[in-house]
Amino acid sequence: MTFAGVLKILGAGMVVAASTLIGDSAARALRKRVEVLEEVRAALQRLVTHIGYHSEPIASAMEAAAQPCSTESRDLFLEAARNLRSGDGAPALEAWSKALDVVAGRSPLNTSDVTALRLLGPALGGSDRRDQARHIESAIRTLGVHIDEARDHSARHATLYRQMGVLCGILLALLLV
Amino acid sequence: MTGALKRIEDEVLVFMPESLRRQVAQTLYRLSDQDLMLLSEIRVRSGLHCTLRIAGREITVGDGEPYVVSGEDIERMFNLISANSVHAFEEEIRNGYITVKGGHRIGMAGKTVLEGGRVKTLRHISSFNIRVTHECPGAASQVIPHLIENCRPQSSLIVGPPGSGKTTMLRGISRLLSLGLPEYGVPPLDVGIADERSEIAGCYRGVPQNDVGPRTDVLDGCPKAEGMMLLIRAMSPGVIITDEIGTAEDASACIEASCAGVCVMASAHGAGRGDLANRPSLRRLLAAGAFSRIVFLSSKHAPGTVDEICDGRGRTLVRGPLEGSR
Repeated sequence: MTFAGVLKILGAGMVVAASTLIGDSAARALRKRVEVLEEVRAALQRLVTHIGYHSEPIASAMEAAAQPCSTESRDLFLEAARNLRSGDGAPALEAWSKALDVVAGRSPLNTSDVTALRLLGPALGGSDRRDQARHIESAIRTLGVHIDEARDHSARHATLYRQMGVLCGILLALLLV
Repeated sequence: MTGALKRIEDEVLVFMPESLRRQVAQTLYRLSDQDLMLLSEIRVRSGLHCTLRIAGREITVGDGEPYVVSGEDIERMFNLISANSVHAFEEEIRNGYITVKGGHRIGMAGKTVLEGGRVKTLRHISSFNIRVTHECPGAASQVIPHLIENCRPQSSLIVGPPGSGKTTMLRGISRLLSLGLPEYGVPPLDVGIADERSEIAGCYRGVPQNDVGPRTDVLDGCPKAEGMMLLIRAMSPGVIITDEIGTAEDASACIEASCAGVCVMASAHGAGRGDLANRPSLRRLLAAGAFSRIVFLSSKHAPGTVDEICDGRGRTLVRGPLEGSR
């Protein structure tokens, strides 16, 4: 085999590998969305406990709720707690919205997930324990719908994205070679 | 920066939004150390000037021009005081005040929301009254010798009008009895405080912010009568201290505690013997012999001035004025 032939095979291999990686990363993003939504839901469930039963102020309740979470969901609650502590008395809505603005951009959550979470903001911190628990539980139920949808979407599309990555890579390699 | 100023900045001004905080701080910087020690209230009202009360004088806050408090200032201040968490201060808001770190009390007024004829919460807060507390280590030192007999503290009732230093005196008594008074043969005693309104110990998240002594247990925010019984059962104190008794339940609890051999130190509103006789529950308490000493306070010379000390039968033991050291 000539040197040019070896180069062609190597190039084709790299194209297929790159395309496979792109497909795989798209499939992983779908799974990651489910994971983050599940973690946010679990954190909100802990928030209900910290607010409804322990009667903790919202900033420390958010910090406690964020503890077992991994990066994105933890960042959301810790950022909101930080905003609450340094907000010069700004409403909790502002602290929560700012945290969502900062964290949502680098998370796999889509616009509708962020909108659902944003709806929790106006209720945060402004009423008694029972009412707070009611609002957060309502957000948990809404997230449940998003999680089901994200799981379904992931199940249907993750394999497709991965296979398409490989196939597109092969097709591109054949066309180039 | 002086200690008093630093304390006020760290414990009180942190609950004000930046714009108001700057103005109040500027005004405080111009005060003498003595005035800072006498600062008793900071009043913040929406649409009006913010004022400081110093030993009966009123000083308007402002750097040149008097500062007018805006609605947004009030809103932000409420968020800072409540840490954006109405749910965490439900009971306090219902009672109209929140005790903050340092034992300072922030009273608030606004639109009340009623449920079943009782205040459920406050909304649309329009004014705050920050009552600044200062430690008065010697507040009870002049009175305490008269409350001891045979090396044992006697159950005592402190009577005085609002602002006469009843709570400060109870706090001083707690500190002294908890430390012990070897000069009078009184050993250090376990003291229990039933602090329904968080005034005596000024608890913040359950931790006393005022010095109430090293052997003192505080039951914070618990109704007095229930709290006294709970303390007896759970903490077996030698002395129980409680503030502003007045109801039949309070009277029964005091009698119960006295019968259990516990020394009770309590306070009650009243301007003198006449007021005491006019209140049925207090009359019942005195008739039952629950108190061996009655201390009448006033603000004649300064808050904490002792007008008279009587025994349980109303016989005068000491005639004042003994000036308080508040």
